[in-house]
Amino acid sequence: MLGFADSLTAWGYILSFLATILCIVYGLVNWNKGTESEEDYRRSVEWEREEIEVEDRLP
Amino acid sequence: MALNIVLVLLYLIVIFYLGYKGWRETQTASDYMIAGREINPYVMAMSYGATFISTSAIVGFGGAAALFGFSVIWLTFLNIFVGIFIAFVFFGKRTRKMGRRLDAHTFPEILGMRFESRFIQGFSALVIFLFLPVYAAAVLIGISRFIEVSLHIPYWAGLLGFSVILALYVIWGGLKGVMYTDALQGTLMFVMMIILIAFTYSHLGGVGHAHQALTDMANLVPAKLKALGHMGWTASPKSGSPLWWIVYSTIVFGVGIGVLAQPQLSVRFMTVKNDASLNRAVLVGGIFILAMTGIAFTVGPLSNVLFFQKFGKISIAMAGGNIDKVIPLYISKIMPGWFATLFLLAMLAAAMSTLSSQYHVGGTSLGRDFYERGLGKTSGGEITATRFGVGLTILFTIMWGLFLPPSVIAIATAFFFGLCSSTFLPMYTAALFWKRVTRKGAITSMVGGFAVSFFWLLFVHKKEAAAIGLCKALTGKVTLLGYPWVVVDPNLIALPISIILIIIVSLMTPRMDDEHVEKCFDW
Repeated sequence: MLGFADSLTAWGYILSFLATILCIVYGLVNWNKGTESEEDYRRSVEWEREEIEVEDRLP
Repeated sequence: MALNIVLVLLYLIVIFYLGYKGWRETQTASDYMIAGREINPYVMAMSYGATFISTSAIVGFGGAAALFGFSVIWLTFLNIFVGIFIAFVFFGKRTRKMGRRLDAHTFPEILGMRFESRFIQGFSALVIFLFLPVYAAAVLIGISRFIEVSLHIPYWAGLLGFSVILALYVIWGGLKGVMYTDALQGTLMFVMMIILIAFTYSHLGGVGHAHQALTDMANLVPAKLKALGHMGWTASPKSGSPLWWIVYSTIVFGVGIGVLAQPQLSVRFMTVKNDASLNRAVLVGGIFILAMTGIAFTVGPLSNVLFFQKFGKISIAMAGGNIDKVIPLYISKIMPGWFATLFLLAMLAAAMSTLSSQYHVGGTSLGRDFYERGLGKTSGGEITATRFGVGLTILFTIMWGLFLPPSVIAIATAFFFGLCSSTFLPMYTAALFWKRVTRKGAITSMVGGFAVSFFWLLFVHKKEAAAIGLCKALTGKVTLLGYPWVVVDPNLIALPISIILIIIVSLMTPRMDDEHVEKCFDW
């Protein structure tokens, strides 16, 4: 199959493409799903504040 | 040659400028916070991808594929299905939410806070700090071999020179402003890999013809490899043979699953604004990884055909027995000159993005997680400890890079991925998905997985046990067990034990405080 000597290797090759297609389809279908709530936003801002402190300690 | 050096210098100037720009923006903290960190999904996926995929994957594993053959492509499947799909959709969303809920900023921190354990945070941080340099060295060796082959600079000089440039980049703010540089670096890597595969397949007459030409070369497999189970470059190694265990237990399983518990990758989930960004990043990430490891693990085996047609030698013979040199040689001997120069830039990009995130994690592991939280010191020394941690990580990485033997990139990477998998994966998974898990269950699993991994490495897995010699010194035997155990990867033994430990010990110990558990899962 596809010039490979055995089907196990050919399936590894094919499944790599199928997994990519799964990622593309999932991304497109769920493109706008999962926007953040007000509470989520408030936590994000708190989290950012601390994150900047963490980064400030780096060289 | 002179053009190569000029282009490299120009490229470095751009990267330094972008690093500085990112750093400047982190200084205007208030604007930054009000807007929230507006990382768009393309940048997030590229940043994750450029951190995930590096010279280790392209040079090291591409070289391993040139030796072992197309069976390594199964790792590409796992890289995409586990490393992107499962990681983003299942682990990413929960990590982001729990990270926000607990205000956790590092991988050891989210574990430590979920289990209310300073020991877990400190121990995880120490494991990461001590062993991350082995993986970072794999990345550094990858770029140094590339510099050695394409710029004709001695390996050690390339390694030290690149490390100095990277250290300057780090001091210039490169650890802070990674968003722009990662997106640029990821894009450059993507374009170069697409050109690489298009050239290789078209040169060999198309996909089917190229694979068939390699299938027809099965009689050229060296006798030594045949004896280990090599059945040709387009076939799986002989079932149960030493090569079969190396390909499937160490390379495919160890690295393919270990990606889920990588400290430098899981922190990327926390910086994402919402689930929609993660959903969109799945699309970009899937395509990016296929273009990275998929192409490296295809060009690696096919390099045998082109090298044989042009020089009458298979890849491993061309590289003088060092698999880490196969991909650099392919680029410089087979590909056009202009491509070789641009590809060198892409590899510099790949190494810089991954190494800077590794140095970042090394520093925060020692400063924030081990010193401040693990040891409970909060008197201001944590800033020094973080910077000291970055410096030591750089130093240890250089030392490993200079002292590790040839053909080591894939093995060193697999070591770190396997260690993270058996030490952290059951605990991290349970932290996100299992409310009944207890602190004692998590600690037993973490320490148990780590200890079994090392025991197997020192006393059973022949490659390391023989090289280190502790087993021989204590017992008089090179390894405690015989074949096939001596070729079974430590992760394949330690991970199941770590999983069993977390389940049994959690069920035998009292539940964690309900209020705390509900807080962790309140999103």
